Amino acid sequence: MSETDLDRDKIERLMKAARLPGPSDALKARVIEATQKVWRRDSIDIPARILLRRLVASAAAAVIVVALADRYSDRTVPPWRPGDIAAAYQEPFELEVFLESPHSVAMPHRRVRGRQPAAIDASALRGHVERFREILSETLGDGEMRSSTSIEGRSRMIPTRPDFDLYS
Amino acid sequence: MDKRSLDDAIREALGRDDPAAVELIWQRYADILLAYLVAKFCSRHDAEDVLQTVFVRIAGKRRKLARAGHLDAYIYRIARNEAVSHMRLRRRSGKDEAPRESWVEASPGAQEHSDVVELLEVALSRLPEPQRQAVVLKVYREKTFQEIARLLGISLNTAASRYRYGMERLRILLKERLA
Repeated sequence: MSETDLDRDKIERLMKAARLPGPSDALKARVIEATQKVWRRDSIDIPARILLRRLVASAAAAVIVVALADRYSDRTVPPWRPGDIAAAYQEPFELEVFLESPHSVAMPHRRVRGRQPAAIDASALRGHVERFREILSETLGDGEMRSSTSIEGRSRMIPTRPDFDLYS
Repeated sequence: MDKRSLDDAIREALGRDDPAAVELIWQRYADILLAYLVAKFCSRHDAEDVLQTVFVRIAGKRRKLARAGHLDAYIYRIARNEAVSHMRLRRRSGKDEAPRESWVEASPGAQEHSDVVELLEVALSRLPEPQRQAVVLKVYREKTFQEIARLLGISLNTAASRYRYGMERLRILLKERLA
């Protein structure tokens, strides 16, 4: 037997003078109580946890389905990218061209504005009224005369057939 | 009850989700796990705290444990991970140095050799941690190199060489006493 082996035997014998104590009963009681407490709590939690997991899985599946549909659908609109606008060509804006354009958004407004009467001129209106009066009086005068005059003397305001009076 | 039948009983209890499995796990693993943890920390207090954490963690992972191919390997891995976490916490809190407390005690037949016990404790504390673990498990728990290798997650040869280097270093540290 070598010197090293002898020394090893001596060391092992020396080490036997000491011992490493095992777990005490107090430690056992403490550890088992704590562990069983966690065990029971987890057993209660499990149904709720399963429900929550299913809910999370369903939500995740829904998100995936919507994302895939959005990606591969025919009606998909390409995602908006701010860089595209900066790169796109844009014609310079000219007000006259815009207003004259037949499909311009300004056209309906222009048409509506065109239908509206111009500023009211009182003398012109008075002239119109006078003219209407004259026409009316002429018409009334013609009606009185019609019974005594020929067909040719009728007012042009009331269009009648030339043989109207022949059959009346 | 031998180790194999105890492992079977644990598996059965885990399958039923029976809290009685905790007692069986304690019966089978508490002693070796405590020895491993004491040898790692050189502190009985820390080892007991971590042992409790290991058991709580086992309770939390009991479903995975029930499906594990090797029950012992799974439990030892939990213990190793918890030990590493505890060491990290101790380092962060600036308590890297092991507390000054006795973690070995005199054997019942050698009460008068208190100086030897103190000397041994100091010598063991000076060993590198992996060597100390191998020596403690071999000498004080009479574990085979196979069991030590499984517990530490190393090869059989590594376990044997750690023990050999540890004993060689102890021989140097205890030279005066041996003379």
